[in-house]
Amino acid sequence: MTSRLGRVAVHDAGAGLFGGKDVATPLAETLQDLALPLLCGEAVATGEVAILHNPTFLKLAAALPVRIVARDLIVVAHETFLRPGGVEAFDVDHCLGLIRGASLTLRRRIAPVSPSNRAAVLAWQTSSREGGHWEVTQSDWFNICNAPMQPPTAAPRDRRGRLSRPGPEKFPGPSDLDFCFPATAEVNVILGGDLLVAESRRRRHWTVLPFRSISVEDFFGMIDFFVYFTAPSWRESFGRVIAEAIMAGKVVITDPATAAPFGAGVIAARPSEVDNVIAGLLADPASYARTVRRAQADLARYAPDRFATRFHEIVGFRTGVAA
Amino acid sequence: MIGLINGSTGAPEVEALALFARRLDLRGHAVVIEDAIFPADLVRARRHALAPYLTDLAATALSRVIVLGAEGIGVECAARLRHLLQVHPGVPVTAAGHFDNRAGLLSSQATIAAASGQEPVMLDLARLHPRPLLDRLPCPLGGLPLADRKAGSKPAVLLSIPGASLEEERCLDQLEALSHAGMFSLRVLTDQSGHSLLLEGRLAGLEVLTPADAAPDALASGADVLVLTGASAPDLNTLHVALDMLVSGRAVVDGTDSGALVERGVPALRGPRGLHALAGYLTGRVLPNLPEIHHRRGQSPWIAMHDFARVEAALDLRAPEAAHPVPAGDDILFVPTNGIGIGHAQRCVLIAGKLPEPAKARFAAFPSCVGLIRSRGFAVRPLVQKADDPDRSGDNDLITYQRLRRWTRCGDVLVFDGGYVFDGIRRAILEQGLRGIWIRRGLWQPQHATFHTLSRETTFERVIVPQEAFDELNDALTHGARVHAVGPIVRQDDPTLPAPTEMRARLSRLFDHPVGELVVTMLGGGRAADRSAHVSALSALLERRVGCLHLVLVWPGATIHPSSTGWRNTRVVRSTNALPLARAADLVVTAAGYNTFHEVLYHRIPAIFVPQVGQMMDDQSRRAASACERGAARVIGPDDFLTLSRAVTDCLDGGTAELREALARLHLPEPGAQQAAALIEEVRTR
Repeated sequence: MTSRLGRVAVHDAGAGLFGGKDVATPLAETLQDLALPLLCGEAVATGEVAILHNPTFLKLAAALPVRIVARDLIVVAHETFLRPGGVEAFDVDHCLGLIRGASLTLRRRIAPVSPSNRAAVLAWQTSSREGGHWEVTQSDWFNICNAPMQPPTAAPRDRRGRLSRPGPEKFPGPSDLDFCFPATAEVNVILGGDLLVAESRRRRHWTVLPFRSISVEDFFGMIDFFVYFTAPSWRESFGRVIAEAIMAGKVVITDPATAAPFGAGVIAARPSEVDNVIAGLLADPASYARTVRRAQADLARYAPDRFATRFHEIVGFRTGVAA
Repeated sequence: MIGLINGSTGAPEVEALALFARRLDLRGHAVVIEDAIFPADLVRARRHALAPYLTDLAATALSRVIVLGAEGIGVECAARLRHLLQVHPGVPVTAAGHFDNRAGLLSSQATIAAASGQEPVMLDLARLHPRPLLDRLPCPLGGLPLADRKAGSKPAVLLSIPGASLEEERCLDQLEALSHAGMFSLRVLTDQSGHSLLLEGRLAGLEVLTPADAAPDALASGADVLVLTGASAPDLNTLHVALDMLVSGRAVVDGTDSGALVERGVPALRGPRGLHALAGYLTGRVLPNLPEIHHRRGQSPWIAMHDFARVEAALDLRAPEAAHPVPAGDDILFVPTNGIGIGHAQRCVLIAGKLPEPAKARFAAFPSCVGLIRSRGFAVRPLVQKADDPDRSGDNDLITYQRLRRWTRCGDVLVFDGGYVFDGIRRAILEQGLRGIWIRRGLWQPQHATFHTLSRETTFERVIVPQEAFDELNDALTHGARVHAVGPIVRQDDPTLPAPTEMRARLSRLFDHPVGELVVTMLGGGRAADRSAHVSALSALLERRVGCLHLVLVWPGATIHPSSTGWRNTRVVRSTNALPLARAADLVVTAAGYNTFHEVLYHRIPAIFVPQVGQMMDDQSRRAASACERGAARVIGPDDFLTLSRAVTDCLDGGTAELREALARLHLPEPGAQQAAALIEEVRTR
């Protein structure tokens, strides 16, 4: 997207967090399509605007290997700065301090990725010494959702599932899991349930699959309802997995804060209310379909063309030729 | 109740958890350890240290959960925490770890918060111990103040030396010379390889301990001076020993090659690196200054920083106040093993009966012995029998250890009667501060008298060796000031023993059977060997004798073979009280165990011995032969049925006059129960 808006250089920040792993395949393929090199080992990155994604990669680093010289530096806060309750999710001061120390810019900003993410950034800013060195963008830097929308099924069944990384922060408490995935459901699929295997707490009526054991497409093919709650001490910054479920044509039920960025098409509820929600939609398949289409329509706010407009709002100037 | 759980499950983490739990326990906190997350082989290797604390935390009422090793929360720990905090919602969680940076602490905090459903209080050990004694601390470190050692006792030196150092040329010689220095007593603390080396070296009288033998505070309690040697820094266990000694104002000498403690700021004395100079250094520089070292401990900020009270404060734990100070113990707890029969318990009962205050004597015994002990008027608590499954055969020792911990106080006397000193017995003596006495009956089979087995006598203040009736049977297994020989332990002068004629009349009434002849067979309960064929043969033989009553005596719990029943003249009797029956008998057919053998001799009972020859038995063949050589008994081999039948017939037909005459001529030593009791009482009252 950005390459259509101006000249782009992509630098590998090289902080070594991932121990020398290869570049992610989607990024490598995109760079190849655009004939853009990945610049590694460059001492300085220069440009009008420097955009640095997800500062957590510096949490174990002693320095940012690349020096940044730009008019405007934007750090995209993909991961929440504060967990619910106000506890730092990572050493934000350290990470942003390293970035600030390695950059020479006129303007230094943090771009949140969602309303809840924005609230955490602002709360952090008020209590942090480092926060005084940064502005917050007026608009959110959202995640682009660009995949074909699958139509909802005309005959939904009580087939439920959830998908996440296996960490404990991604799972609600055991009793809430029981609410979400009861024995009365026809199917309960939990992809990424490594924790539940370790806990020896698999219910017979659950199909628990380790993380990445099946494709995401296959997973969505097994369910009609995506039921997603996390630990109370955790909140999704954006919730890409919610967007994936919407694009896959499923009804999504989640907590209010996670549902908020996606509009009324994503059902906000408590775990104890999930059964009633699903029962209502099963009794009225047309309502099921309407809910999915509403969510898919709302997801258009994260479409690529909307991103171009948002980009201009954030960056504050027009570059290149509009599509 | 504080529940402890560890972030990861490796061997160092298990070690740290056990050590930390014991520290809390000794400070009066009720503490338990989550049992579900450790690999079984790790638990078995440290089972005595862990056993008092392991439990299912989910089934226990908890007031606090403490997570150690929080820097490396594994999936198993996270899963367990989730389950635990669902069962115990709202229980505060504290997480302690060694964090390299703030990122690690926040990451751990997030994981624990997600797993437990609440924000934990985080304790960064890097801040608690800014100059750590180990590169990565697996648990908070703190020394415990020890009770003062008895004034006037010879200084005790605990030498920590790794096995690798013992392999060096001349090291064993130097160690032996050190042990004979004379100005101090010496104990050696080493690893498993060092322990094996020292056993092979057969350094007689040297007490050798490993960290597996007792907790660090117990090892420290018995020492005035700790000397650390070796090429590398001390391990976590030894570090705890050093901390306890420093906090208690005792001397620690750093004789490691690199000065591993001193270079980290520990207020230890920098001593010589080799053993060759150690005796002179200790006697010239350390021992004369022990009072001054003790006095200075209150002035040391390092010691204040490393007191366990500081750890408690960091964890926001208040040491419970004891309702009343626990007085020092002075009871006597007899712990007879049960071997194959109940002989050990019988001996202990006889000795306990001769104590000036028998009421001070209590028993902890295996189920087969409980009835006997109770019948003699002593309080007895049960232990758990060894399992038949060979893979589980040592598990009951864990229960013994835990029960002895609960049933004893520091200062009590523990009297153990058995051949092998179990780990649990040894550990209880060391950790509880008990005064140990070993009643060690002799006449071991040669393969049992190993140096390893006998070296355990250093755990005891006294070894009482009940002698055999005949001198040639008294092999001295060990020597030294702690070993005391006493006369044979045998039941005598007991006014409750009925006269033989009265006993026969009772039997006649009881069984409604004439008692023209009385034969008593005591060939064991079927555990050492199957003697059912002998019993059948005798029963068949005696069936033909008019007016003969044949009693087959078995211990409670013994197996009764069907072939023992159905005879007119034979009756099976379950009893632990064999002597009244034997005294009333015309003839006794018996194994040659210590107790029965001596009862036969001292009560002048005509007997035919059929020795037990099993692997675990004493040398009964030798014992029986000694009586036979004197004409005081007949001896029949265990497979010699024909000869047995002939011998019984000969005795009953020809009379047993010759045997009785030979028995009457015997000059037997004075029985030793009184003397043994006096030795025990002397230890109790000093």
